[in-house]
Amino acid sequence: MENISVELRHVTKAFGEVHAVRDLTLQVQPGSFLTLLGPSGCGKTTTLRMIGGFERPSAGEIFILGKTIAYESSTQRQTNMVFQDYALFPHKTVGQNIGFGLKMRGVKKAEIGKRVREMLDLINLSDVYDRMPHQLSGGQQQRVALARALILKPPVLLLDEPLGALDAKIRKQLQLELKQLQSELGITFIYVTHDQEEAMTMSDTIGIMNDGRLEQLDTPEKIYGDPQTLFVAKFVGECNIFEGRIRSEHPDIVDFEDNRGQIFKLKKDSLESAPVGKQASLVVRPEDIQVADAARKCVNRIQGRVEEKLYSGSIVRLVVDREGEKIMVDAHKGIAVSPPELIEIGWNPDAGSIIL
Amino acid sequence: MTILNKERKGWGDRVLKFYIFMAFVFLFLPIAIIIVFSLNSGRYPSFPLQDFTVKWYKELMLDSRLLGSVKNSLIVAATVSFISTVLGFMGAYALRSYKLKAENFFLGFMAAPLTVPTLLLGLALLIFLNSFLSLQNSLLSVIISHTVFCAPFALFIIRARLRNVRISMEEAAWDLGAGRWQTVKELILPLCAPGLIAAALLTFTLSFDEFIIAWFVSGFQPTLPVKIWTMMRGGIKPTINAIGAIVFIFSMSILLIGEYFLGKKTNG
Repeated sequence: MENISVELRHVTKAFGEVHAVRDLTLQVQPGSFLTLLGPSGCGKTTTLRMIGGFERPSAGEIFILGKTIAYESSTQRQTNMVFQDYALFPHKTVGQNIGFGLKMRGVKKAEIGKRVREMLDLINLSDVYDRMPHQLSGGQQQRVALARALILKPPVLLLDEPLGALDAKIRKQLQLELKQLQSELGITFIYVTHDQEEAMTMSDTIGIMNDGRLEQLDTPEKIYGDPQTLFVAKFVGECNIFEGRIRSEHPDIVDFEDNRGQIFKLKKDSLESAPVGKQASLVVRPEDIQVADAARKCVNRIQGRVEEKLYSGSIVRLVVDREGEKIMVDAHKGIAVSPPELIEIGWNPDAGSIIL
Repeated sequence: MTILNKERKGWGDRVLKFYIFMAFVFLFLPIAIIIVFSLNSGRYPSFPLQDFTVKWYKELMLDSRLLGSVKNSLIVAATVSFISTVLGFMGAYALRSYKLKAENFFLGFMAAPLTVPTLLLGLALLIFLNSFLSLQNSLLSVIISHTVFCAPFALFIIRARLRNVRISMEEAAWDLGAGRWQTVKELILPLCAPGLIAAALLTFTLSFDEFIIAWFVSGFQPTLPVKIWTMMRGGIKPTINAIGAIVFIFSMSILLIGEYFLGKKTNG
């Protein structure tokens, strides 16, 4: 059990008739950065609050470092939480806020002062010791909230959308700082957000949640490149989805036949089994699709008419109409096609994935 | 058009200002007259005014029974204010911490003593304290009776204040290792201190000025309003104007201080 930081076993949480979390099972490795990602109301915050001991699961068990969590004896707690609204104590100075946890544990004043200053140095805010929280900017307040939680050296730190209230530029910077801090301290971070980009840049592991269920728990690369459910595919990034069925199975390759009868080939590696004849969806990311000359060399090809050409900085988004079906393609900005040109688009078997 | 609007607005403004002015005149003129007569050497409260004097105030200070009732009132008001604030805080904090299904129903019950006519409340308390608890009419009876309607008052004031303390702050304190009592001491009490002070001051004046209930249950230990009433039965003496002036200024000051704390904001 020692090599698992946090473990949830079949955890369910119901508020009256509403199931916020359904039969959730997951393990978190020590020192790793797990993000729970999902739309609002998916149960990610409830899950975090259960790990933090703020809510009791209706069923199932939660272990931290192999022990079930304590709800009552608060000083025995193994986790600390950073709140979305910072929850700094407005009547206490920054120093008193950060030292609060140590004071509750009966640590001597001189020792508290020393360790608070160490924390302030760590978060690059050495000169705000005697200020009041409301005199700080949002980003500074969030750092103070972080320091207040980290000073207790918890093996697990819980973060509930901590950057949600900050503007984009500070958010980016704090994302970086948080990630660095996490690897420096070797603390397990469990992070909740609805921002997929934030989840992608920071996490070792992402758990995608929807309607109280864990849809997929994987590395960011796997989540994006090999989504296991349609929800994951649609929630993380954009994608083209072809409905159809599995036509036949070869040693490395699977043949997928879409509803129009066209066959696409793709690599089998992500599929454990390919039950022939089963209904399935083929997911292809817009940036994996080639256009014009490059498309001609591809194994899977589609004819279509360029309907729209939208510039977005470094790339061009083409919307290609395939007899009523819209396909999104991201091409290089220099691409020489324009509506309503008839073009060929295509991709190779290593792009795209099948969702059963 | 704009000019017309502006003129109309200016005219409406003046009417409203005049209205407010008149409201305050009606509210405070009678009291002002009492203060004026308390400084008038004439025996009867009638115009024209005679010489300026403070002799009625001097006379008050020599009336030991009156001073005794002042002392009674101060004891009652201070005790009631303290108990009401403590009870009010406990009630407000409990309401915040436990989600009651029948919260509105409960609050309605709490507000009942504030809405029942005090005459009925006084009579009910007299019967209850005498017949059920077999208490002799005394200051203790007054304290109990006043607490009945002052505690809900304190609860409502403190509850409004507690709403400003976000639940996440309490959770943060708990998360950092504070127990229930430590959370209250370190977080809740300091953050709702202005509400506590306001509640204490306002319940103090409520109790200090209350007459009807005190008249029913005070027995041989009259509070100041009861004493004034007894004095008035023997005719309106100028000393009563002097007491009125003192009580008015005293209560008003406490109320204003209370209102100041009610309006006070915490940072963040």
